Amino acid sequence: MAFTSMQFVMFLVLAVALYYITPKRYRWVTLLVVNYVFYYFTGIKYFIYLFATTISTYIATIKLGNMIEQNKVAFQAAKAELDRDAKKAWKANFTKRKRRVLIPTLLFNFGILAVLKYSAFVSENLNLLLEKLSAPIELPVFHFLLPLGISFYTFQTMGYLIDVYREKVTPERNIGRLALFISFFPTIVQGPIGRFSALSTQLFVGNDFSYQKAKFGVQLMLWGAFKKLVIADRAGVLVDTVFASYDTYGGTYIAVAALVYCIQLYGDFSGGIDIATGAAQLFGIDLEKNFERPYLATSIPDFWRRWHITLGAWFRDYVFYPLSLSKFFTKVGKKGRQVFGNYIGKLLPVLIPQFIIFFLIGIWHGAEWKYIAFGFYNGTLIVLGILFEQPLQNLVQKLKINTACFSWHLFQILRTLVLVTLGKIITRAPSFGVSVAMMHSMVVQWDTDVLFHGGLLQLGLDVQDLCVLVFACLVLLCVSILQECGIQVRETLAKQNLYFRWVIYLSAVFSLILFGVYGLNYNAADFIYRGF
Amino acid sequence: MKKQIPIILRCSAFCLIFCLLFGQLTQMYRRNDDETNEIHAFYDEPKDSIDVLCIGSSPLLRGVSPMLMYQEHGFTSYMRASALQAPSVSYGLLAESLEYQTPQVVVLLCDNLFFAYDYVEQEGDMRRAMDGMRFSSYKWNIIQEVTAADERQTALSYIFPLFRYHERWKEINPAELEAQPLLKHSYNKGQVYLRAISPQSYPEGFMEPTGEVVQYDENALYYTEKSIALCQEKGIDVVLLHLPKMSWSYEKSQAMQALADQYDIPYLDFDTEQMRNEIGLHPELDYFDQGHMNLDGSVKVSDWLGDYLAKTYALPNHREDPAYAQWETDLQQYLAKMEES
Repeated sequence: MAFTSMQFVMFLVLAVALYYITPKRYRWVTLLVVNYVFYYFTGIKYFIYLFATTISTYIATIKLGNMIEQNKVAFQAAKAELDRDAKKAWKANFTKRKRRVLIPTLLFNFGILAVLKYSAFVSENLNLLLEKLSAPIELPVFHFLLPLGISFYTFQTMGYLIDVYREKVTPERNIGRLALFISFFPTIVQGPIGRFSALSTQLFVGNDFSYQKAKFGVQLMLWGAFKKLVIADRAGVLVDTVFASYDTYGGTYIAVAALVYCIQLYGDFSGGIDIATGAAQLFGIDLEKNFERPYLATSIPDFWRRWHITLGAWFRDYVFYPLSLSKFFTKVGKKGRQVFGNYIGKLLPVLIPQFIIFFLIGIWHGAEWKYIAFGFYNGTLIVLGILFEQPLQNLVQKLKINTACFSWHLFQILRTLVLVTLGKIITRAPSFGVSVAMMHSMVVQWDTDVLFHGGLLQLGLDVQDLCVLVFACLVLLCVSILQECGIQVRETLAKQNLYFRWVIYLSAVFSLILFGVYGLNYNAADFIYRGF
Repeated sequence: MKKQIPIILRCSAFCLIFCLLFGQLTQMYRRNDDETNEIHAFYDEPKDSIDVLCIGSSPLLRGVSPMLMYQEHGFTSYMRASALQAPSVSYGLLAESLEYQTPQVVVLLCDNLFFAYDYVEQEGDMRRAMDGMRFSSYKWNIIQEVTAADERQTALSYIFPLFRYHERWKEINPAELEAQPLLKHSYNKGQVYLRAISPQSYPEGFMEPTGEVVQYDENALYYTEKSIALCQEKGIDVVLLHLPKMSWSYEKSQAMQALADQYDIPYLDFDTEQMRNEIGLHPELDYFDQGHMNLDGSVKVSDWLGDYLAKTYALPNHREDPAYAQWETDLQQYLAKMEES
């Protein structure tokens, strides 16, 4: 059930109505039923994976919770008799015991994800290797259909498990409530990846209907649908045309298509997130922010702080910090100082985990070499950025460049956009090799003239569609700039006269109905991130 | 609750404005087809005022004039016909029409009995007929069948055609955008005639036995039999009809006759030599193309058909009936329009 389908709208209206007519105490039960009905539409056979994650996490977190409680009691009783070293040993011993619960559960759940998502990729590549080595073995290759949102709900659930392990949250003892947290339908498709601490109360408490919140929710959904149907799906026509026959298009066309793909991906993903966030607001639930105008970022790290924020935060909190602060990397840092000197040695415990994180982010997107290359590309940019930060700052000072002005800020934004666009080519091209060929063509076959002689009209969109796309992108840019300046668009709009507001709302609805890319003559695309 | 009243009122007002604008835009963006309009104008006919109801595809649409039959014999008829009408649509239109009218005779044009209808390819033809239909359980059933056969098509786009025609914003000049409401009343009574003459000649061996093996399309046969059964259940006489078409054959004619015999109903085939001679059909003058009559051809066909229906079913003559004054007005309009040529 696509977020932009009328089925979803009807489902949502029904779900919201059911939620609010249910007595407050049982609203979470209604929400759980609604979630499962939504998930049922994707196919009943996928329930097994969702249940496996729910049950294994429930058992593990309850076990951890019991252990933590018992440990607290035992520690309080023994505390007086323990010296500092004994307390340390006690803690280390307890951590070890907790890990015996944590690690198998992590392995089990990430194992499901790995088998379903990556086993074919691994088997195929191992077979290639075995063939090269002339080994008479061939591994079976299983292509599994991915359950809806498995990457998202697995990460969300494992985040909760780790939080329980770290004693940051108390485990949920009601399995129904835990199931609700894991399966909350607006987020299960493509995120945002929620935290238990932020979501649990909102999910379980039974929210009262808030007209204001519901109104903002509907507005956000409309805005999301606008980004998806008017911008992303229209941009997708041009992108598909060029990327499908990249070898027949020169570098200028490829550059245009790559840039348009950036717009498509942002419109598609952030549009979907806006619809999810808006839908959650109808139930009185606020989701975490997942985007913050990423194309206005001034550096690659800044971009990743603004793009898919909840995934970045997940990796930061559950992978980067544990790695970077681990004993192993502390040792690496010490050794690095001896070998490479203070500057680089100090940075090593940051640089290597950063690289690992981007490798993981790369493969999170999919089981293909191009995604691994994408991860390395971003990891390399981040590492180079950290390594050359100081020398570049010195250079800027020496050249007496004013960095406190708009032009410098604009330069940083454009520089980042170019780097991001190159990265997007890697993920959009059919393979990494093709992406390299496309980038090569962007260098050697550059001819801007083609764009001014009807060339843009050869890319699948006619003049009217191009005009709508450009206009819609300008609207998006204006809204982004307003938000970047700290103006809250919906709140500001809410303060305007009723007539003005209604003109804006009706224009938004009808621009969506008239200019949205849907229906028979358009082949409306599924959400891109739904596949990750 | 008092606090919520202004909110409810505001939301209702917003929805009302939205609906009005939506309706207006639907009228602006819809395809203004004559067939759609004629199918819709049927609803304006007073209840139980139609004596003969004709259902079928374009040969009927082009080839039979209810108004000329009225002028000659005084009985009223209406054609709910559209180009390449799907069997499911024909049945839906018939069943729906019988909710509004109690005709004495139903004429079913059954050329499509041998044609496997493709809901994907014929989407435009489907909409041409269905856009003129009011929402009803019959329409819903057709929608269900179409959307089951072609998953690209949505029920919503049949209920709210703007969701289908929204993409026409590119082809319509904004300066020419104006609401085109569906036709409320028709003086053509469902006919959309064509004036142009395209001289034709009958293919060699036309309507002679060739040993061709003909087979009913399963779906078409199902709906035709269902239509006959519905009429018989309601005590309505049914006539199976075939109108002039160059691609017709002796074997198809025989198959139709067999079906008619099976249900003990008459079958009128305007392609048999006897019939062609009887109505004086000239292939070089009376055809619009190989499958449709032009205006002259339709005059001849209507003349014969009207005569047959009036005599066979003793249909009433309403020409002097004040309750049918509107038909007199419509007839004058129809004749005036015909004269324009």
